[in-house]
Amino acid sequence: MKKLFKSYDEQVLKSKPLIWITALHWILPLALILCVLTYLYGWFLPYSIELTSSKVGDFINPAVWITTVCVIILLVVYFIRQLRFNAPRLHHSLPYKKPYLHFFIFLITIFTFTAIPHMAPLGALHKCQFSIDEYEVASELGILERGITHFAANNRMDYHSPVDLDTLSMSTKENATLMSDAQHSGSIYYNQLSYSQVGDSIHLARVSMNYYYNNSNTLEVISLIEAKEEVRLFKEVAFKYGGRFSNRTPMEHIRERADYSEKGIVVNYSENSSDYNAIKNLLELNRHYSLHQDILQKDNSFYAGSLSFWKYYFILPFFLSLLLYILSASQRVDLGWALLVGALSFVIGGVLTGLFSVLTSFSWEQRALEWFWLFMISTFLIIYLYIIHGSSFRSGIKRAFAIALHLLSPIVFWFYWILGDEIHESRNQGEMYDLHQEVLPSDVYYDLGYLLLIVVCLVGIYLFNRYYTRRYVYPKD
Amino acid sequence: MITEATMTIFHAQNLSQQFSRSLFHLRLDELQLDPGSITGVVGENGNGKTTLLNIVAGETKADGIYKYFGNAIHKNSDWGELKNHIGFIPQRISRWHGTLEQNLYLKVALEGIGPGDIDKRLDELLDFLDLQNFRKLRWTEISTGYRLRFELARVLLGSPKLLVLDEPLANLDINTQQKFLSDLKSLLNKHDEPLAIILSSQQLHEIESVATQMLFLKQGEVVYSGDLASIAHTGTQRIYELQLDKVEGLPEEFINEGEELSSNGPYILIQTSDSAASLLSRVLKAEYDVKYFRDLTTSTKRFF
Repeated sequence: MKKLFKSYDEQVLKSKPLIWITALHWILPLALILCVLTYLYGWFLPYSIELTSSKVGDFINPAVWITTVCVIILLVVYFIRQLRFNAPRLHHSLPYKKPYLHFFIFLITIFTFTAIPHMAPLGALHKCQFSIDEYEVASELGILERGITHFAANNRMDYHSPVDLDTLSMSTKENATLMSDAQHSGSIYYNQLSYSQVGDSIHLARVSMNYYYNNSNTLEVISLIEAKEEVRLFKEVAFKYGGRFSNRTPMEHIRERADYSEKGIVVNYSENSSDYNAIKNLLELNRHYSLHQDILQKDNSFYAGSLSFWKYYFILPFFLSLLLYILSASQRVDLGWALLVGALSFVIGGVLTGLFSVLTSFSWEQRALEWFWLFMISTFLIIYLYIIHGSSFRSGIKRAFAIALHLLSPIVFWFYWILGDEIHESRNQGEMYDLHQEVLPSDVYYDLGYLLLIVVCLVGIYLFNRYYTRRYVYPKD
Repeated sequence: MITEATMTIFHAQNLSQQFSRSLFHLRLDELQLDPGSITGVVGENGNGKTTLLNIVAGETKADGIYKYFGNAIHKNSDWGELKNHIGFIPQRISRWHGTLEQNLYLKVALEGIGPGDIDKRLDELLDFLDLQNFRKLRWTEISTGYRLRFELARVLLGSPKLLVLDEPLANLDINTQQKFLSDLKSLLNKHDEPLAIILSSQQLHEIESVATQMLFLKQGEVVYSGDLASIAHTGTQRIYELQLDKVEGLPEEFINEGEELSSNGPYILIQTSDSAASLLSRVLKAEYDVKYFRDLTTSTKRFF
């Protein structure tokens, strides 16, 4: 096996030296194999309808932690290897010959590596999705969410009989829609339901799981037949998810609830209270329900199935790749000085911010601080550029500042983006402020910023590559 | 017609570099390196040898007009491409990681040589430099002398037209020095493409045995530049250096009219118009035991 690998390594070295230098030919297959193995581990999650999030966590988390430690070690090894073989001191012009090829190889490698720990949750998610009918589960969870309001003792619950209609305020009368059910003595039920937002929404068939927290007094009216059906369905579905009930018929249950409401009895929510709650094991049912909600919404333990997770996760390998590119392109002494310059910039910035807060009367006014930061960062940027392009500074100092600027450029860009956004919003705040006047919704705005950040970094690679070539390949002053 | 064979490898005029902090100023009116030449750069420490070699190797900027391979250098010159034709071995060689063979394969592959020809090219060179037995070893497993020779091998794999070596003999024993210099000379004879070599060293005798021209620097100025034979024309008399056993100096009576006697540490320097055989004969007749005798007439040592 060792001989085979050596022979393969030698073949790549002779035919594709640039690939060999980045070690792509063995690092990437290794990373992919580890991804597959970790994914398969997650796939072996023993799914059952009574599975809970904590059991899933107990199964997945050890794999995540172990693989995270392994990935960190492997990344350090990879970084060291790159610093050894890609160093400008060994092949003076090589790091600058194909900068984007180098960068994208680093990106692919580091992304694949850092994705390894997230393969176990992804495998577990796919196993669960494979084991259920998502549409059916979504429908059932919808039934549970509506039906629970009849069961869980909740002081928001407000059952009214027709007798109380006269006592209702005009506003609720306007909101009310009356339906009568002749078969059940014309009883009318008002259900004040509270909803809560449950993260990314999906809409399957006719069931919407997108509930928004609503503190208002909006009332929904259902008929007795509908109420009984909701209770019956809830008990049927909840039983499947492990819920256990007392032996009451839906009608008996509804009558008891209405009774309590008329008497004005406010009962505190208690998950397993036998006093009022007809569900004997509400906590357990909630856990089974939560797990299936997580499966559908790709949340909590199943975060790795969410596109938005990967969208923002991409930042980590992207910046690590940029860091590795800079480490490979610069010489160690210069890099050391650059890190010092960067660190000192942060320290000085912090000190200046503190002084500003202390010495001015705007100490806690956010807007003034934002303007100050904008001014401070711009001043730093001008100083950096002056030193880099100035003729009165030693070349070592200029290189240190240039490399520091390359390292800090994503942070600087993001600062300007956020500060610009904050200052813009500050200007609009007040009575006239209206979200709908914004050109872009907030999340799209930040997605745009994120995309621009990536573009800025890629352009930075081109610009700084020219700089490194001038400094390390061209004769020095 | 300028062909590759006749093209001057490096030509500089009015070369100048000044260090602001130390006030040291290197100045050269002209330096020309032709194909097939070995130029030795000598001088005391701190007189500009390394500075000059760094300028020739394109590592340091200098004022003046200079041309590489017939092309003048200007602001937009492609130094990346230029340095592909310059092989530079500095005083301190960076450590190689991986096996020696891997590093050499990498160099050959980066030169664009196909996988089928890489082994042949490498074998030829390693046979020439007698390094075949060491190719599987690592940097830490070989001596300083072999590290220099492997570095030479790596540089030569790039088929350079100009080879710049800064103090290559510094850490080598006598035998390795001889071997290394012999390799350099054989290289010029063997090399199909035009090649010029410039190197600095403190080992004057060894360098002078292979160099076709010498450059002596003192305080950044060129004291002498030219071939060895012409050194004799810099003075009217011949200079000899000798060391006698059990005697530190020669008596005044030994010296004839017109001759000068001085000392340089344990060595006696005699300026005379006598030939070497004649002087040696006189010394031996005077019953002195001669430990060491050298004709410095055509050596740069006379400038020290």
